Amino acid sequence: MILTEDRILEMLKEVKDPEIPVISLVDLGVITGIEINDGHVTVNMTPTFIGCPAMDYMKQDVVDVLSKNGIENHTVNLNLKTTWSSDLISEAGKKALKKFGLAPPPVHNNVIEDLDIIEHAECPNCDSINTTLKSPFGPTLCRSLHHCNNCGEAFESFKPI
Amino acid sequence: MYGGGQVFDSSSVNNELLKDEDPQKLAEFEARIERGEKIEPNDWMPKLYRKQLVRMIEQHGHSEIIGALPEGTWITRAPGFKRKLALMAKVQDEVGHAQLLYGAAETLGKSREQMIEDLITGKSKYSNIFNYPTFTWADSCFISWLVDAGAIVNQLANARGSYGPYCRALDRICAEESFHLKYGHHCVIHLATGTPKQREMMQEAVNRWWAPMMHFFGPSDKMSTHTQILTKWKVKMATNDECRQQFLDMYVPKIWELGLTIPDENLKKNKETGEWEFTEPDWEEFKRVINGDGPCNKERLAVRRTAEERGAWVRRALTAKTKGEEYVAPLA
Repeated sequence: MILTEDRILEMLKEVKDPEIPVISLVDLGVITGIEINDGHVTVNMTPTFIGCPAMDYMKQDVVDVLSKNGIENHTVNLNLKTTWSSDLISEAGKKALKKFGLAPPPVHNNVIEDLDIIEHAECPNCDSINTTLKSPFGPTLCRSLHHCNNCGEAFESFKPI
Repeated sequence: MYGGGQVFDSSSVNNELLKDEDPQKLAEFEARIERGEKIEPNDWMPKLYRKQLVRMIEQHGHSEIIGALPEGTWITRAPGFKRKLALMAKVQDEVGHAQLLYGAAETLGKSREQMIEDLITGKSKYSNIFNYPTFTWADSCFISWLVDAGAIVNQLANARGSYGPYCRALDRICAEESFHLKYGHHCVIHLATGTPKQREMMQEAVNRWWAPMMHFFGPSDKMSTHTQILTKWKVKMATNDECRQQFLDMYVPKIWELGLTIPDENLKKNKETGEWEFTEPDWEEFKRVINGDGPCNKERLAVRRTAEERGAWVRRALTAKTKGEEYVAPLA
């Protein structure tokens, strides 16, 4: 079988975020590059946050999936030259986050003019925008905590970054 | 992590509260639960249901906050940069879970301030296991793996309960816990397959923590009463003994597999009944510790109290409405 970038991306959809098992690393935008040279596959990964402690586990999961699919000739790199942005989350990824109860981040095109952007989140439970920011830090650096004034849900939001 | 229904005190169920309820509304409420529907914050619910849920979710939240303390002290002493990074993130996760849970409890009408007040004055309980000290790194590994494992058993059961916001918060919490479990398991494997000194250290931790771990799921079902209505309302989804049995079934083989022993010579699986048999843990000690007289109760609450006092100025600053100087949330 001919190895293509698309085929490898398809394989890697099997690797999920270790703490949000509904979204793959591909849909999360953590897989930031795939190169194929003479049958050697290089996968570049960029963590959502530089200090992400799950990176080693995710890297291992990527290696396992490549091996499982018969790709022994591979390199998995941690790519810190580019930074991750919440705009990299795919539409399918955003839907999955919302279904899991995490408000997806708004698209910002790398222009965040107002820090207050974080205070506006749409409730993943009832779609209301009448919500209040409870804490800019949730269980992880990439999430904030909110309360929905309409349905009463306490929910998390993925930060626009 | 870290908690769930195991600190649940069934004697608090006061059926008197049910007397004044509108029988028709109560019947509709019970029918909804029977059909598997979730109860939401704005729905009608009996006072007793609200009270018990607040209690349970709040205690779960407290367990997350207090549970972060015995592990948190190991962040500065974790062996190596990667472990330090991972533990730091895990502890942040746990504190984040407390925030989520307090948020869920708030939807039932109790304020966060009141919950924290009740924690530091000793009025509310939290998971008893955190009243024991973590002497070595291996103790911290035991917590990350096995206490988290116990909590997952409890929380997966509770996630099938009837109160919507709590169930949804638990689904997300459990996803993160499974990652902690993986981290904790790796830490324990590392020590258990390491040098003789490392293996000894891990074995000593298992010896120290086994009794508190058995206490973790709460008194035997034979000793607790009045939970019938809570089961019917899907507040309590599994009994203490069911959770304990499930934990033993899943983790005892894994502990043995690592060449570690468990300090209970009567521990074995009865092949006929499929149930685990074990020495009944000392329930008098459990009662003594949960009522305030454990090795670390005072220290844990003192740490929380100090944090509360030291952070008071921040809360004042946040709520101060000085014109033109309103608080702006940081992005990251």
